[in-house]
Amino acid sequence: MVKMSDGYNLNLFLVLTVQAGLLYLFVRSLIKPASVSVVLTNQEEKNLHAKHLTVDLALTIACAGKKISVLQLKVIKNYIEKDIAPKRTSEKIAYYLKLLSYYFFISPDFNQCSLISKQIFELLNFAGRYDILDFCMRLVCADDVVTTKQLVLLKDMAEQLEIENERFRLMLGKIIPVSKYEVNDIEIILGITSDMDAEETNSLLGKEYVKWNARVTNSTPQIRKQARDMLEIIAKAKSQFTH
Amino acid sequence: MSGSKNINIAGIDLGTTFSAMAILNTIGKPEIVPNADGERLTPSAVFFDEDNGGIVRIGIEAINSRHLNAERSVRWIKRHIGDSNYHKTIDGKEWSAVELSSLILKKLKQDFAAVHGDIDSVIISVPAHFDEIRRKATMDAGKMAGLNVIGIVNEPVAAALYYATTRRVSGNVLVYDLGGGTFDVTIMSTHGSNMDIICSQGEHELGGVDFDQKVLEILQQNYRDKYNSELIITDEDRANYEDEAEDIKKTLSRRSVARKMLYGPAGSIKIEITQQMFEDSIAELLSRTDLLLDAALAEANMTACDIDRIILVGGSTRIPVVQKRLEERFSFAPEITINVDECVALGAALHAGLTFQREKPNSLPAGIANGLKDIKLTDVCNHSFGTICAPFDSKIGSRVIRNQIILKKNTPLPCEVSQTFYTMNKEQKKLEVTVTQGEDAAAEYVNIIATHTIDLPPGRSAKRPIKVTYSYDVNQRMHCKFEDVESGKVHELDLAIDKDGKLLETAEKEHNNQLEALKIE
Ligand SMILES: Nc1ncnc2c1ncn2[C@@H]1O[C@H](COP(=O)(O)OP(=O)(O)OP(=O)(O)O)[C@@H](O)[C@H]1O
Ligand SMILES: [Mg+2]
Repeated sequence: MVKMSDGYNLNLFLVLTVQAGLLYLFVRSLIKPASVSVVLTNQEEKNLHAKHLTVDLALTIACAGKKISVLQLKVIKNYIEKDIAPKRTSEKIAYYLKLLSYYFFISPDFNQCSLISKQIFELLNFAGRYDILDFCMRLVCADDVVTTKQLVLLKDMAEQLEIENERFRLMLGKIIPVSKYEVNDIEIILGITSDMDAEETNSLLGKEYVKWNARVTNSTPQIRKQARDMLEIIAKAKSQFTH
Repeated sequence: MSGSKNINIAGIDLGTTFSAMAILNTIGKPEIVPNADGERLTPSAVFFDEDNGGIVRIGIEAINSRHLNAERSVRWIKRHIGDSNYHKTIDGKEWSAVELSSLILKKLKQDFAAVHGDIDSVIISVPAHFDEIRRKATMDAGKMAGLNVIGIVNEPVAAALYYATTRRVSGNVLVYDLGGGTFDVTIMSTHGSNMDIICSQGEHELGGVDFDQKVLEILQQNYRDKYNSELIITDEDRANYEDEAEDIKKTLSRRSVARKMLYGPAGSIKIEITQQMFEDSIAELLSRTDLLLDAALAEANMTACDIDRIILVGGSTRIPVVQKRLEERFSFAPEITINVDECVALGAALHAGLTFQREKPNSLPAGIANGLKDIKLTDVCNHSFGTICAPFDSKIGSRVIRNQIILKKNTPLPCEVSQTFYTMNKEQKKLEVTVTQGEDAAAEYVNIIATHTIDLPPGRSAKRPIKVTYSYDVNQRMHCKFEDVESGKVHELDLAIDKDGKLLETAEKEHNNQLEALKIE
């Protein structure tokens, strides 16, 4: 603690506060997503811009409900190096600082996610958008726990990118092991919503059940495990809705 | 009944918890063959003797020995059959699930021989949902045990076969088979001894042993609550309390409450478990039986009102809440008159008789032939079979790898279906074809059961037709034919169950480079 009565310490305190304030402003400027200021006509430029936006999106989602992990930072760093590959060292350093700032000062604005996704939608075709959702899912999955907040953001991202619910859940089932979910959100995992009546819910559960039951004997161990876990979630949902 | 001139035709129910064997008598009626101890059911348990490495104990002795030395015992092997990663190591030797299963079958064969002599032909039953790999593994276990396995039959089909030959039935029958480790629902249409299977759905890991685990969890929790210490410390403890749990479960089928004294490491405890507690603990497992029932009805394009009778098969159908739920759902009581743990073996013997009659009609003794003459069974294909192809996805804007189903699940047997695919590239020299089993369109979710390379003539343009024909015979054997339409060259692939077991491994390795080979329009 800083003792205010001590003149020397007060000076130091002021200096530190000003420095911290400047650093904070700098970091905030890094966190702020790149916005489209000019209309891009060239598809290559559009692709590159979408990738810059993806980094912001990915960093924000990775921080949702938890601290971003070192492993996730590495995934994003790889993405930057492989897919964006900034040539200028200064740009690279700026990017790395950005990554670090997310690690040390996590206060991203989650409301930005929808906005960034919308911008990406304007820039890319379906395949490109699909790849970005795929990347963000894999990024979230690089950590041991996937938070509900992250799932909600991914779902919103899919909506903004106009990737149908069915396809979204197919991707989710393939990429994220159920055992990583912080909470099993049946609305997102199974697509059950509160406005569905009993018949609709049952039919949806039935379809999911048949799908995952057939995968219990898959030759890939990870798929077998996922299928078993999914059957448990489906059974739990079934007993909730029938009682 | 026995005698050297007679032909011994048998059926074996190789169960997760119990196995049984039946023989066709001289007038073609199946009868259970008791084991050397005089028991009609033999526990499917194996124990490797500690003192004499050459001795393997099967059955009740293995169950009891497990309490003293759990390391050297194996149970519920059926859950692992077909899994090439499963091994049990005893004295440095790795035992596969096929080998372990063959030990159980050997014991059944031996006990049979002591009374009836050698078995000439046998059929082993498997759950309807078993895939090709598991069917083959089961057949291999039989062969390894020195049995002449002439086929495989689905457990619910066998049960229904026995049922239909013992009483007059007609209408839509639902066979509800909840055993020790697996759960199957089969729907069929019957007119006397004429039976047409409509569809089957099954769960690979749902049965009595899962209910036992739930009871065990209650015991462990009660103990923890009282002593703040664990009830189970060693594998032997686990073996012991698993059997206690099963006992409690069975008691609760007769009474509303079961009481037991447990002598744990921290002290003893008197446990009281009510039927309600048990039912609550298995609620989610029972939800799965409801889901499977829904799935089977949907697949048969039926509702509960279309079902005229329900036959119960498997020991776990003795649980009152299982019967109660069915009655609530269908508005009539299921039939519980036949012996739920024996009817599969009895039906498998009948099926063996029918198969023998089809393959060697002149060798079948007249008495047996006469007993079987009215039975007519039409079975179906239990899974879909397809191939991997690379159609163009207009939304994604590129080719995507997909599983294309050729032979659809529930097609009546025997059957044959063809589809035409096209080569992708100009000057394509080779075509790698894949045979898949599974219902999914996503390639990673189906199992590859065989791959095959076809050499194409040089100088070809792209998009040349290849006709793919899959057929499935009444003995559950699959045959694939790939025809290069222009040259007329035909490549045949017989997925007979005795094919080399290593087929699958190579198929998996080649997965990636053969995916692009085919294309669909
Ligand atoms: N009275 C009873 N109440 C509850 N469960 C019972 C009763 N009697 C037997 N069981 C259970 O039934 C199961 C055995 O049934 P069954 O012999 O039909 O199965 P299985 O053929 O070994 O298994 P599967 O067919 O699944 O491979 C065991 O789990 C046993 O505990
Ligand atoms: Mg059985």
